[in-house]
Amino acid sequence: MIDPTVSSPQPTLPVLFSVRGWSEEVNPAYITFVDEMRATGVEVVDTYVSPAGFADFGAWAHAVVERIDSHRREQSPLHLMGYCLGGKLGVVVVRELEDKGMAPSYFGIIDVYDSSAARRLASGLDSLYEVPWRRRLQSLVARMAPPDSEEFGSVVRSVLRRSVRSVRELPTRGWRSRKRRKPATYSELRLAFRWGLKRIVTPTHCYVALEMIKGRGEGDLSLNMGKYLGGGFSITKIEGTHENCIAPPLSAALIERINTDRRAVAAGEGAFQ
Amino acid sequence: MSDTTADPVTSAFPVLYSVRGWSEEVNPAYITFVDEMRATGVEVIDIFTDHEGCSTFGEWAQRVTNEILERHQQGEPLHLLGYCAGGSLLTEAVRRLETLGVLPEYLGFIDVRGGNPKERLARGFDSQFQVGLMQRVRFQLVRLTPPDRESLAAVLRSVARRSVRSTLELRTRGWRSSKRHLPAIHAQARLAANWEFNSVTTPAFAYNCQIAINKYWPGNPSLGRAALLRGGYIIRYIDGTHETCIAPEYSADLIARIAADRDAVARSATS
Repeated sequence: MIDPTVSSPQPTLPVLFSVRGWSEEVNPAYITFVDEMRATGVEVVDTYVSPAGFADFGAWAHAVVERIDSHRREQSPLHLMGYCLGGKLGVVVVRELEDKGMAPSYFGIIDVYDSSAARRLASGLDSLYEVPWRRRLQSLVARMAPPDSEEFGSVVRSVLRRSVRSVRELPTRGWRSRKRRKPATYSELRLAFRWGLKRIVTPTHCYVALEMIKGRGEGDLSLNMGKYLGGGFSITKIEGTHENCIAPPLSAALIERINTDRRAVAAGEGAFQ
Repeated sequence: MSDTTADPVTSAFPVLYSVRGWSEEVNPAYITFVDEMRATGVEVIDIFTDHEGCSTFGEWAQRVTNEILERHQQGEPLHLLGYCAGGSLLTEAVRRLETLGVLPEYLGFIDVRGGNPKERLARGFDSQFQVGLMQRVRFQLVRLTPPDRESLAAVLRSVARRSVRSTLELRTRGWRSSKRHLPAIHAQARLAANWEFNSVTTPAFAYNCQIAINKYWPGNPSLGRAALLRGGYIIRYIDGTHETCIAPEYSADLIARIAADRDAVARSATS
């Protein structure tokens, strides 16, 4: 278990706040990754707030901001990082920090993706996570708007196809099948899917697994996150899959890369400076 | 005057292809800017292709693509730069180059902004440039989508407000007032206004004026281009306005910044 009060010897970089979305039980690999980072002499504060009891993703992110505030040293630049759901939560956290005039000087997201509208529909994710109709419509409309500019007919056809499939599966699966729900991750994903991410203006370092680009990228190296990253973003392609990119032996190169980027930011020589 | 046949100046950098959208008569300042770059020892090839005879922006961009391919030596790193309309042309040209497997090593955009759908509507650009009805709808649909997510009511209200204004102005201005046409740029702007840009995956540098951000895309430093630049982009905030950022006193800093970025890109490519 990670003790957030543990500090590493003689840190040469500001404290890194790592926003975590999954509990230790769901994703122990990320806990090990953070420990591996610490072993390189970097001070990392593992910021985890349980999602239980929060009405929406924004309220959850607000609790994370409060946790960061309570651990943050005054005057010290803020370095922030998140992986997977933690990265998405991090985007909402950064937005709130920007509104408070406390934008981080380094923000890194590891393999964070936003499911495309077409995939949400085809996999029935919106139904599974009880996404409001307004949000579902916004996703469909986005497919028809530039730069994707999908034809109206093609969008309607995909909706009809999905509807027919859902109706056919109704007798076996039932309405909003509970069988598809994974109890360990359901509430977190429900909060995330129902939330509408807003644009941030903090430059973002995206570390994206090569396998994810092939599998989920759909021609978008930012894994559909780019539209939210209005302050610019760099993409660093990392080896491995979504799961093993943070595990040894691949984690060492990723940690080195993150440390290099942070050092560059701290020295005022980063890609965005 | 920019001479595209001028002998290259000895330089540590690869050739820089500068895509220009406006003629020398329309925007002499950019010609001077290119000459100022050359004076720093950088080899710049000015790519300017006429829009005459093009029925779409894509055709115009294809001419630019052909010109780049014709001049660029295979195996040499490709460095590309565009300003204003030249940047929009370059975006489409890069998409075409990517399709051909020609990937630029450096891609720079100086104060290139995406069409803001609110501005298009409020200023009547779609009407002025005779944009098709379905396209107008699609451009306005962007406002409903993430990350902005304006409410449908807000979008409809703005459309209704604009329609009332247009009707009221009909008597004095007439239908698609030709008084608003600037002959020197109308045809080019019309091609651009009717085009739906696709995304590129080449990492880019966006040299954006803070003044332009505040004026055209408040709260969006990418100048509305984040969704297009899917390979990532780094924003360099530059001084001056859209017009003065490429003119002395601001141009020297911008040229130095571009050189530093090209140097960084070249170093990372070799390392």
